[in-house]
Amino acid sequence: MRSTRKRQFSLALTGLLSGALCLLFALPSGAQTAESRPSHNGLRVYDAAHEVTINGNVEKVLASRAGGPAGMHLLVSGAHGTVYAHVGPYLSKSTKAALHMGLPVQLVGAMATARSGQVLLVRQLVYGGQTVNIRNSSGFLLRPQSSAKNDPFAARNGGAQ
Amino acid sequence: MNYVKTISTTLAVCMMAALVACSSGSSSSTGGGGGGTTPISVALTGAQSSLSPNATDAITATVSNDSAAKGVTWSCTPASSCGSFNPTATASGTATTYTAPGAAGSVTVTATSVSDTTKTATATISITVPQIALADGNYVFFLNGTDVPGITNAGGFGGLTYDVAGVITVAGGIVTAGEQDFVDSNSGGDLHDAINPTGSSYTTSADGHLQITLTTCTGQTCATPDPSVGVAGVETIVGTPISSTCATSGGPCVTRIAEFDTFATSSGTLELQSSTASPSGPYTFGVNGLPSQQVSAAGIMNFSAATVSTTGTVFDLVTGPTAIYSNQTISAGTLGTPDSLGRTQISLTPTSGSTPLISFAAYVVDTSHMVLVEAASPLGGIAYAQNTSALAVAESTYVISMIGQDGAGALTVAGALNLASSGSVVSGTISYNDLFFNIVSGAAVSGGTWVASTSGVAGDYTLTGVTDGNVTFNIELYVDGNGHASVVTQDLGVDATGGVGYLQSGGASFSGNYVLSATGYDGTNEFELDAVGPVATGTNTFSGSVDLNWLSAGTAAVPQTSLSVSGAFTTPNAGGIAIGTGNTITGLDVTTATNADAFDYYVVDSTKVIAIETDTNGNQLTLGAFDLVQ
Repeated sequence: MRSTRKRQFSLALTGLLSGALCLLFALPSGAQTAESRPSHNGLRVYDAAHEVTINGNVEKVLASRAGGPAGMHLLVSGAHGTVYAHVGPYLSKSTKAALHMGLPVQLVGAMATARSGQVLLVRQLVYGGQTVNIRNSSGFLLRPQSSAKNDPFAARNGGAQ
Repeated sequence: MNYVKTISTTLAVCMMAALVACSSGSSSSTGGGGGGTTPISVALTGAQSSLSPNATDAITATVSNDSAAKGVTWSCTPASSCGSFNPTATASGTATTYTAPGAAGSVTVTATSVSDTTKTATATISITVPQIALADGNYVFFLNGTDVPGITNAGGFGGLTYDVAGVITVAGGIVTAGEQDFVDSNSGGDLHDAINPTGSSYTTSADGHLQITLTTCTGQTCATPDPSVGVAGVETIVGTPISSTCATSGGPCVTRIAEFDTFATSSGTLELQSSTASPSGPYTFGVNGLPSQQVSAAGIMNFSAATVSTTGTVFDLVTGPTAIYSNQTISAGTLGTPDSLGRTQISLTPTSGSTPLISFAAYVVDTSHMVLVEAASPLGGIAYAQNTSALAVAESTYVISMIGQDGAGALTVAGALNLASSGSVVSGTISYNDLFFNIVSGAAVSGGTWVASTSGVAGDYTLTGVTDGNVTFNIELYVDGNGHASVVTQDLGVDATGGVGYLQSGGASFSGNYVLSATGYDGTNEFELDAVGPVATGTNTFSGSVDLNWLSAGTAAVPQTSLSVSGAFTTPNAGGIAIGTGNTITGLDVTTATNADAFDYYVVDSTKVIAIETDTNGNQLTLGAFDLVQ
């Protein structure tokens, strides 16, 4: 995770520098760059700038929910009310087994409007002293690693806990 | 005497005429008349004596002496396996469209007078399966999809991709040799296996589709099949030729194919090889896959003798999309010598040490293109030789078809992008679907610009800020100058998507016999589905059948043979686009086969149409292509 953060910082820095070089000298950058982004993009379903932390108890565990997103949802009740929390398809077997009605949980994530309605896209799930990272900082689900050896593309995101 | 003879002759002629009239359908006249002194009679015209499975035929019933003019109803036997009619009732003299069943057999079609149900006319139609023959030669195949280890390695969900490319030798109607390269999330890299002629074959299935069985060797040792590939080392592939010359020596022969067994589902091509010569000069390429996160890449490889030149080679790569590698150059590149079946190896060493090294196993199809499988990671695609004299894109329109991931999961994108010369403006229409957050049909592109890439490599274009006001795509477009393009998005933290583009030509129609190939994901688990089969258009409609495979069980794919598929489309506008109400496909929906799912159609030219699902029922997202049989 640390190396990933360092890499993202490096990417952003490299992008800024190469962008500046392009402006000044109109030369090809030739290096990896982060493209400039508009402030709004409908495909950016995870609003990292407005993350919330919710504490509550699991009221129901749903293997899936019509209107999605795909994968497991938790119906969680707390001081904030009741929320559908999307914890995704890639939880480990032990985490799935530990989730049950009445379990106190802490959820860190961002609200979004799917076809099913409002849903909390959970980035981090905390329960019973366990911390499970479900999404990366951009809101992308962390998939398990490929078991392919020496796969240059498989070791970029980490994996589901 | 002569008078009597004349009457006799006239009667004989009349009887013969009646017999001739009944040759395409016999009529019955049992029972009494229908409201008049002259009995009602029914006669059929247009019924062919023989049809292929799922073929259509216009059949007309003419009802005589029916003062109520109630027409006929249509039926057939044997019930439930005799085909269908549209409509099921017609006025006298109006044709119904009969669709033959999906399998061989004999069918009796009956038109029954509504006014007098004792009056019928029948025709017997033989449903026969035309055999698909492949001329002697080498056939290059390529498949990209999801296999069972991919599902297992993804925690029983979604799945990780696999790719396989290879070549088989066909001689005298049998498979005599071959080799392939297979990579998935479980294989530990490239499995380069020979194809064992024993246990490998091709045939025509009962529904008239091509079916290929390939038994692999473990490496070059054929004592046992490769246990990591297919079902115990055996791959089953189905397909439908888009070339009418597959039986002709020298072809051409292009077939859309899908893996069709319990191990995997995927889509791809099988093509007659016409050259094994080493590639030379610049090739536009694109590869796609989901090793554990979406990876899409596109670029240009400039081949020079046994090297990939550091000059004129560039690529863009997106992973995640947590990392983007734009305008990547290479410090070294190698190109192997193709073997006797056209297999070679390509490696690209990026200048930047942090950019993944890329290594392809490649199979040469001809001097214009080859298929690629990344050797260490399940990425696959195609490379096209550039026509360097036709790489300009100003005042052109490219129809794009892309698949990838956004924060919601799977994402499909299709559209028609117009690249104006004035102001480098991008306009056009775009559709996209991620199932849960963004399902947009045919939105107008309201902003965007294009320029020749800062890479300086010919055929590399950068499209920036292509937006409909809701989403924005930054796209790298690599063209080959012969109508093909590879595309990859450059949207850090937003999406990772890649695919193909086709130069659109005006005045195109969507009419004739096509092969429909489709890929997609269901809405519950995002398990992959693939389908391929023949369809024929009518007036703003099409119908046919597909073989469909779906990883519905998670632990196994479930192949389904000869599913009826049909669709409707509005007349494409001047830009070749048919969107909105009236544009549907029925039969590809894996949840409810009778759903008429909404699709947008983008016509490239008279030989190709791209279709993208845009309904909001959430069952699945689908991306398809129609290729004209010619």
